[in-house]
Amino acid sequence: MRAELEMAARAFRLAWPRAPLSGRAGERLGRAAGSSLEFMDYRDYQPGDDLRHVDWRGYARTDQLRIRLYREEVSPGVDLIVDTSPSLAVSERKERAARDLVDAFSIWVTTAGGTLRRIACDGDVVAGELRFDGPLEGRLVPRLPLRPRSVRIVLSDFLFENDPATELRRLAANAAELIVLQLLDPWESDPEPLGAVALVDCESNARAELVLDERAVAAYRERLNRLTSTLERATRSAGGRFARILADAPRAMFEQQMLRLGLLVPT
Amino acid sequence: MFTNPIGLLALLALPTVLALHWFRRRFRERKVAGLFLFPREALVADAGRTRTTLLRSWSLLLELLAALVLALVFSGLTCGARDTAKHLVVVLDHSASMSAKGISRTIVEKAREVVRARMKALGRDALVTLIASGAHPEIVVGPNATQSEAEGYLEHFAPQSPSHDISIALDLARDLAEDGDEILLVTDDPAFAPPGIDVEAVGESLGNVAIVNARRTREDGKEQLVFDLRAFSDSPRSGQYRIRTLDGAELLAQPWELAADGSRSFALELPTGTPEIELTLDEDELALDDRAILLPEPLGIVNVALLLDEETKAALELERALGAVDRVARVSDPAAANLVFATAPGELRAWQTEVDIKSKPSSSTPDAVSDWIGPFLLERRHPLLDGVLLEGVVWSAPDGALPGIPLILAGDQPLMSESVEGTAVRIHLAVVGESSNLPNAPDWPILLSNVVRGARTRLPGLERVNLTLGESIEFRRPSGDALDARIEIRGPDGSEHPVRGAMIASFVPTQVGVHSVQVEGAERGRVAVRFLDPSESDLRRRGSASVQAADTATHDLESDVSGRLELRILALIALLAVLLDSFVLTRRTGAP
Repeated sequence: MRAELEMAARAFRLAWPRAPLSGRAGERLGRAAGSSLEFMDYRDYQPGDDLRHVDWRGYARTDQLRIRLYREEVSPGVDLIVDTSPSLAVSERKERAARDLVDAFSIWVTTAGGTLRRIACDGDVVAGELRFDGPLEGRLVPRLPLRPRSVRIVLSDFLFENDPATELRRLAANAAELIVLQLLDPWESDPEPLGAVALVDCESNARAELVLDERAVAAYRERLNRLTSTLERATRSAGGRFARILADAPRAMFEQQMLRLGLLVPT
Repeated sequence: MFTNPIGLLALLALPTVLALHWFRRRFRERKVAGLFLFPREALVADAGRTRTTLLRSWSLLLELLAALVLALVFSGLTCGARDTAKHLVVVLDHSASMSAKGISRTIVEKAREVVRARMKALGRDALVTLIASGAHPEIVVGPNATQSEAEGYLEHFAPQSPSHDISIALDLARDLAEDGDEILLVTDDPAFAPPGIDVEAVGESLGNVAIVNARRTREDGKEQLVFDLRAFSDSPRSGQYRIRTLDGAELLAQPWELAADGSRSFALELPTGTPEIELTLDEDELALDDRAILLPEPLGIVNVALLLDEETKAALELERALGAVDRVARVSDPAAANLVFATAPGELRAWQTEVDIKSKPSSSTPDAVSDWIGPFLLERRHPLLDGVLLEGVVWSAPDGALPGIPLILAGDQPLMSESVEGTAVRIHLAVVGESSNLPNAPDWPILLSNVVRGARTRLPGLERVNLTLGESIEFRRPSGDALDARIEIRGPDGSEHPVRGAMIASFVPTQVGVHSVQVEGAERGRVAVRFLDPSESDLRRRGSASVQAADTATHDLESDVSGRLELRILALIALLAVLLDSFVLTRRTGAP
């Protein structure tokens, strides 16, 4: 991992969701009762309960044995679903940014005591180095079952023609939170007029020769914004958070984009 | 300025580059992730080469820059060199003797080498003006032309002018040369050393045999070939002359022998109807004077119309007098006549001669006729009166003035006058045949013969068909031709020379051989030009010499080096532009 990335990442931490998490015992409050100091509820005493949690004052008043329940502390689980199709590596800058984000999430989750699973979209857990040579269907939900109540982060450019709403709803189901990150190369966000140019699709190798003038660029921008708006609406309707991130140096991405969007907080 | 202006043709690369960019199908490639987002209406048609919007890309600009700079390099651009470059004015002796063969090399080759060497010594930026000497010196290259232009002329330098005064060309050279400019005379005359001018004499003293005279004559209906050979040599010479038709049929081949510096005349009778012939000698030191083409001389028949009453004709003995004149034909139509005799002025056509005979007094003064016995005042210089004496002549003439310029006067009474009307001539003659003895005097047929001869010199068409180099071709436009009809002279080498002149087209040929006169593309006559100039044929006084007028400036190395430096800088710019263009194109195709 690059020192520049690590230094930039450690200046921030993830803004965890307020919704209760699930996971192994850890520092984050879980949804179940546990042994943390945060009081959650009462219930009737059952044999075998820890007598330290009996509400003796209540017993004195009501003559009923009741147990004080405390919120359990869990180690948060984060499923990072990465679009491993070649479109994430369409430019060196974009590929670099994708790798940086994955590594940064690893730092943030680990620092918070959580566990991060890197999952290739429509695939398995990625153990080693990320390779952007995955399937081209534009599917997001991996074959691997996602952990219940985990934070699910989807990293993709979403530059495909399929409607992502259904997939996002499935990803949001039983999740502590869904975060959708659309990573774009700056040229993809704001292309300059190149004139006569042959555009080659990096996944299908389809070729289109066109004159990329100001008018064509304006039409492209309009279509891209429409696609992004659709994606953002679908994310919100699934209860998630959406952010468009432009590929950049780690510090710039974290500080100027993710911090402002509320995805990160300074340490 | 440009030392090689032809290199500017490379500027054609500019529109070519533009066209390639305009109609290009070579799109720069870019990999994208969301191809479907790009608008379909921006797609270029798949088939065919399509004109697209011309984009002001770096590639286009760099390619245009490279093409422009390379064109400047090819054309030999030198900034400000015109102000500092040396100027060499060369007078090339264009006399025929310069075309002699020489012992080892031709004199022309030596002349070329001399000029080339002088240009090289002055540096590649030096400007050159070439003047070909002649009766009318001509600036053949320049003024202030590049050396490549001069080289183009030198390559085809073929001197063949008759002898002339070369000082006229030198005067022109002095006019063209400014302070510091060099003037070089390239000649074969070693004795000629004009002040202030470098002279390079490249001639050789040679012997030569030449045709110094050749003509076809017609007398009493018979045609003769008369020619003279002369040996310009200090030793006896011998050889063979040949007479061939122009299509190659040999008519005669005879040997000849000449003593040292001797000459010999030949007169050969030619059969009737002999076509165009070529007289040649064995080729020797000067080929130009070993050949003469001679065309059949035109008959020169003058058509005469007599529009006179019988009484006047008889009184003036016209029939008898005209019958004694050679090559006269009688016609009744005055429009077809070259010479008209009439008692009243009529309509004159182009090139026509009319003799207006006033033989009767006017009706108002019937007795006003005077008899003149002399003395007669004659305009002796006029060709009409050549040989006319009027001794013992009693000339009766009606009194009164005659129009035009008087040619014969008796006291203050004009008896004969002439008025010129355009190309036509009207001769006014006041004579009463019945009371005058003029028709019976020997002067009368002489006078009429002169009139016919004058009319013959005004026959339409070619004046002469056999010319010596230096003489001019004169073509009289016939009265039936449109005044704006295009007249061209086609030379022996096929070159065409448009000739000006409303009624008389005149052209001085510069080549020996047969010239064709074309009117609106149709041949209207042929003229043979031969070289006959003993002073040029005599090569014995030619020789070599080198005379330096003054200290000629040494080669300006600094100027030459600076010129080369400019070209190197331009070449470097072109190379950089090409490399940058390559880099831009590589980056485009390599980048997504």
